[in-house]
Amino acid sequence: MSYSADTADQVSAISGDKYKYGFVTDIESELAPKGLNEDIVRFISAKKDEPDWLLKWRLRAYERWLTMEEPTWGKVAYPEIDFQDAHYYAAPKSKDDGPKSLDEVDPELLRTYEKLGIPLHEQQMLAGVAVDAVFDSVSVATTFRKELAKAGVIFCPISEAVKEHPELVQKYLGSVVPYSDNFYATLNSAVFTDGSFVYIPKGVRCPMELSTYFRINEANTGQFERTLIIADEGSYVSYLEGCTAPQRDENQLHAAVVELVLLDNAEIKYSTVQNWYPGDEHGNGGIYNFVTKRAACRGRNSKVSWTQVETGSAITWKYPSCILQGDNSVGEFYSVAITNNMQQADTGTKMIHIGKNTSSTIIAKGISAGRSQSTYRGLVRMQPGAAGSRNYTQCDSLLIGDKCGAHTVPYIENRNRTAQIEHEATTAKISEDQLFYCRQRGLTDEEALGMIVNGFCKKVLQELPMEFAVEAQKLVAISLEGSVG
Amino acid sequence: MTPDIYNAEYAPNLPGSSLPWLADLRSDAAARFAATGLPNRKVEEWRYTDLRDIKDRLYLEQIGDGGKIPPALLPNSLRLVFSNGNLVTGEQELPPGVRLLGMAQAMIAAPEILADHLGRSDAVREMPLPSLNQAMSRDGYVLILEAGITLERPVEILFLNQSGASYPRNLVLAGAGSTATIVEHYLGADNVPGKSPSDSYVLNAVTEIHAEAGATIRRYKIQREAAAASHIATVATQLADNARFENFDLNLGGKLARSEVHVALQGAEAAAILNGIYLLRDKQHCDNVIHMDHVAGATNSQQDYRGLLDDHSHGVFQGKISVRPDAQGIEGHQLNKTLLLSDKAEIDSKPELEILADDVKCSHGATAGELDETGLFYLRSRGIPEWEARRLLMAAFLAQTLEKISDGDVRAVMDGMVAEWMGS
Repeated sequence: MSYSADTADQVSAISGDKYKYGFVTDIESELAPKGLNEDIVRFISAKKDEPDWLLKWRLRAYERWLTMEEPTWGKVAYPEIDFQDAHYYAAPKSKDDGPKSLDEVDPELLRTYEKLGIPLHEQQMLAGVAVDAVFDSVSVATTFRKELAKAGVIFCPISEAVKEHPELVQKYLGSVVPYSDNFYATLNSAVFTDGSFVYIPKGVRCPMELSTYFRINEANTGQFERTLIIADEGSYVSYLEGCTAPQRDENQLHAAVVELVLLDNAEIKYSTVQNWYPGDEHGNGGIYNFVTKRAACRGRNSKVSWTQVETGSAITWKYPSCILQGDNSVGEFYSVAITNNMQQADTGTKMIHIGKNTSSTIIAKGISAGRSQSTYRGLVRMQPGAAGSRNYTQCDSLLIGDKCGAHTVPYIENRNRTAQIEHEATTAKISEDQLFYCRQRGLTDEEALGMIVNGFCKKVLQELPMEFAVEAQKLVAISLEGSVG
Repeated sequence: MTPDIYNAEYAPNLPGSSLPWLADLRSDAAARFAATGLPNRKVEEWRYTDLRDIKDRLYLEQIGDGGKIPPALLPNSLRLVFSNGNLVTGEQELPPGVRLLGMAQAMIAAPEILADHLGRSDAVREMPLPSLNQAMSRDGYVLILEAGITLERPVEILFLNQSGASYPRNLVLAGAGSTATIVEHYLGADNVPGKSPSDSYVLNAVTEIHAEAGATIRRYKIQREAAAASHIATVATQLADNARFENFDLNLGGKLARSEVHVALQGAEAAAILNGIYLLRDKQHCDNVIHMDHVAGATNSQQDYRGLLDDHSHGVFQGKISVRPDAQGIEGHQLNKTLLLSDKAEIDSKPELEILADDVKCSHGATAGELDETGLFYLRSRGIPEWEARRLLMAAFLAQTLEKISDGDVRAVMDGMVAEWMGS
């Protein structure tokens, strides 16, 4: 299939200054009062009808959060966030009725998804993808549950898992990202409203790719998703996560936590396409995306692979990490981060090698255009016990225009003689020769740019599942509109 | 030491204390250091190096001399020797257009030149340890080259240290089109044959280098401090159009060593080549910090640092290449490679790029691991014993950096010291 032609079509179809997914669905929300205090934490927990242990856990997190300071080490600048000026809970009204099937889902919601290009029916039929759609904070529709149940796979909103599988949630929630981990993860632990829960039993290869679409909809609503995926011995799952958000002038905060647990011989492939509203070209509005994602490879021979395409958000602060504890475990991180206009992204990964013969690969591609700033920040650490472990890191930055910045801040720490770390990084501008060559063959500036950048990112994009690969290539081109010529 | 005690008791007894501008420079620096104190590991630049160990030793007096002065490393060198802080070499004949003297002497002989240049680099003005150096320093070397002078003889400065706290402050002013080669040799008295191990002295040196248009400065530092000593050295270099700076750091001694090189490439076509080797054993700690600041467009930089870490040693490399906005046409490359020879050694490497212009070609690479098994196997299969095969591979690994030393005599000296380290 011709990616370039497809990309070019997409570019010409979209006008330069409008965000494709910028619309607001008119659904009456049930809002918690503005502000954050212990009562709000109790309110959220009560709304969710949670057991006592979870409320206590939330309150411990809240207390810890009060003593913490916002991290300032990232290369991102933004006005101070007033954490008291946001709603910490919003639920679509129809939640009370509890839709049992797609027919019962609020048609307004379904239309929203259609506009986003992810009609649930179609997905059911065509893609064979089960969707746990999060609209604001409450999951409203879950499909393919039965088929997954046949395989023994649990895929449900985490609020439901708390009730139906408390033993699993209690055992693993906070075991990878403790409630005291960092400022945003702690905030999330206190006020998380919903998210996905996945459990793949021993020896099961999940029969389909699992996918969640997030959408921030209510103005001034912080989104605090919490995702927990447990891959039991010998299991495999591929999980997709994609996001879009409507256009807003006020900044919106998003602080998600994703925890992955892998036991012996388990494998998780976690793919993200993040396309939240990045703000306008003057830096007004846009999503603040402060995410904590971490995978614990606890079992021998386990493997986790993070693939991310980050094109949206005004500010991205995100470091999907791998704790390679089990012997022979494998961690992978493939990332494309595109920033344009006034966007700022500080993203990378951490690979903590603890077990013997563990290996990790990091391929990070940053593309900066406009007046944006893009930073790769990563840590590779070989603990004293990580005998025979390997890491290979490649991070490349591409600069488009002379007002943007690209930065690389890797930390490489080796405490084991037999462990090998290789790191390389380059920064260069987009090649005039390549642009000239493409234009000479009749491509427009933007078509040429889309093609060259897609080539630059190919190593990462090819890691994405097919459903995402196409979307991601379009996104790459759209994100860079107006940055040449 | 509080600024009050400093101003009342210490500063009046320093050389040049009657110069008002110098007194101000010193008291400002003392106040700055008093405000921040020694950096701790929460400060990003110091995350891998702990200075608590030297805290109580910063103000100890240097007692006695450094002992017997070893012969010069280079034939035919112009030489200054500081023995435990005191300049002990006599007058020597200098070629025309060249001034080489002690800092205290220069305060009398050429105060107006010092007033214009001392403490001029932003890099040394803002940091705590160089500020402390500015406040405390009694002496150091000053090399002034007039425009167009090529100094054929190498300059060799020996800092022979034995006790207390030492704050050498050095200044190199290279006029337009001038050229010089400088060797800074830091030697602990226990590295001189026949001398008993000296105590755990602290050395905190600063060298400022200002190279005007077209000047070339080659600076080679050899660090062989005493086994218990702490060595902190900061170099700040400013390069004008077409100026060229070659720096090589050989780190062998000391218990704690920190070597900072800050280069501001301020003129078009300026170039900086920074290389270094760190060979550590026992519980030695060595932290190499580089900030390559491409202020102007069309500038070029290269870095190649390599190390061998044995026993419980800890190596650190923190190299940063910055490209300022609108500094177009930049090429900057950086390489850091470390071989771990023991199960207890640790290397932490942080090669950083900060790029704010687009017409750039910047790269960095870092590797850390053990000797190449296949290379070892190949050599052994040819009948070379394992110990020799290892030595050959290590030598080959280091040779790639050593061969970047453009001065043949210096290269020979460094080769010898590296071979001696590997042989022992």
